[in-house]
Amino acid sequence: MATLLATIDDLRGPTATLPVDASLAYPQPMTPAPEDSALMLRYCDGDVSAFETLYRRHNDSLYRYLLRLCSDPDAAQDVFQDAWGKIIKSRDRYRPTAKFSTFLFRVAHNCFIDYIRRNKRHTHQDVTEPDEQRHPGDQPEALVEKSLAKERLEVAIRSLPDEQRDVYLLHEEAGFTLDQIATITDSNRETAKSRLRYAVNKLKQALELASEPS
Amino acid sequence: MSNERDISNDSALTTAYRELATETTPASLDDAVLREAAGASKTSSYASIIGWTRPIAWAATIGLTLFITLQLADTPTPLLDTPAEEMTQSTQAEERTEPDHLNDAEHRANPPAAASREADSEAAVRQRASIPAPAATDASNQKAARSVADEFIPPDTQLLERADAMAELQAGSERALEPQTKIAIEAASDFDSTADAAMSAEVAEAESGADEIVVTGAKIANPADEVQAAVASSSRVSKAPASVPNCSAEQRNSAEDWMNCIEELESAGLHRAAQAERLLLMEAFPDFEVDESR
Repeated sequence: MATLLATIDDLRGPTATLPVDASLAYPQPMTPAPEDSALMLRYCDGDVSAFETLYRRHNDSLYRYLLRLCSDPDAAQDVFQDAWGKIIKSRDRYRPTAKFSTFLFRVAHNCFIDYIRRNKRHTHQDVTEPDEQRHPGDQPEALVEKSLAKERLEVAIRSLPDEQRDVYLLHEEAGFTLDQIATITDSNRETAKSRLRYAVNKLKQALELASEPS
Repeated sequence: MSNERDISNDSALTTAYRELATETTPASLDDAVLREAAGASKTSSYASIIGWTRPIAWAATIGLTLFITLQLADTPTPLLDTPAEEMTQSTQAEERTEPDHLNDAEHRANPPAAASREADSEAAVRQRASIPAPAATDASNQKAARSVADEFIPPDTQLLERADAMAELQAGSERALEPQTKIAIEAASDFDSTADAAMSAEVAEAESGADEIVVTGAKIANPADEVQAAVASSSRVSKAPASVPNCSAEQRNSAEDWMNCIEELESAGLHRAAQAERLLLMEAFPDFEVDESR
């Protein structure tokens, strides 16, 4: 059998010796996905399906950003709906001068600021230690460690100041650069960089503490 | 950018965050947002329709206004202040377009009737202008008609009538002279056979309308020549081509024949020629009693 296969390979020649996955190196001809700005402009012309496509691209990342930022699912949903509502209402004034995602997260950031102003009682939630909540004896050890690390990170993110958390989430969740973050948060690049550094250091420390053997 | 990489170069943190952030948007939230987007799009289409219809409505309004304005400008509208005067003027202008000779003839033939007709037309104009005529009785209407007729009666109607009669008479005499001239030419041709050639030339000149012909006594040789001389003298008197003799020399030899010729001329309607022949007859035969009543 092995000799037969070798004979067949010889007959096919050198091209046949390519691995099966090599075909993936060549991109298949396909219609490129329309850009966000084009979809938004189509929606401005009345194409609701274009808006749906645009929404499906960004809804989850925006929701997670707001969920981490607000630390409250209900507030996150309110801010989320408020942000999309503003984009829908102001579609006629939309000009594709910047990336749509930048525009979207800037609107969401402003909605979050408004939300904080409306709710003065918004404060940092009390951070409860995950060790006090869970009972690791009920789960396997690896899962316990993993879950513990996630919870510690969650707690660490919540414990960050709003500005640092905002910058970190914009960087980690949406993948914005420092310039884009500065644009979204209406600050300069150095401020955004400093906030990001502080946030990352704190989160690292939180992870290292979680990974250390008790 | 290198700083960014340095800052976020912790793959463990990134991996931990990716493992942590696995939430998705609730379906109810998706539905709410998409419903809102669809509703706004419908409103937007209505708003866009409104946006397009507004300038169209403006353009239609302006176009309609221009059309009505142009229509009003083309339509003559009487002024409210003096409608009767303007209508009277327009009617007079219409009447002026009628042939003038008809109006003149009518005035000449029956001036009061024409004046009354003008008065009637004025009344009709007042009726058309829907303005109540002044409370006028028949007497006042007649007075007005008379006054208008007086204005249009020419002061010298009799002179005009006389001039017309003269013109008719002139036209009739010209018509009557044409055959008379032919007869004279024939008589001259007959006369050539007996008279001198020079004399005939002079007679021809007389026929052509010469004012004065000098006839010498030496050239007259017979009674016929005398008659011709008399004709020439009569032409000098009347200065008209009707003085040409119409009867032949043979007829003029006897008074009876000459008289018969004159009667023929009378019966032919050549009264002037007959009268001239009669005068010649009376000169040539003074003893012959001419019946002038005929």
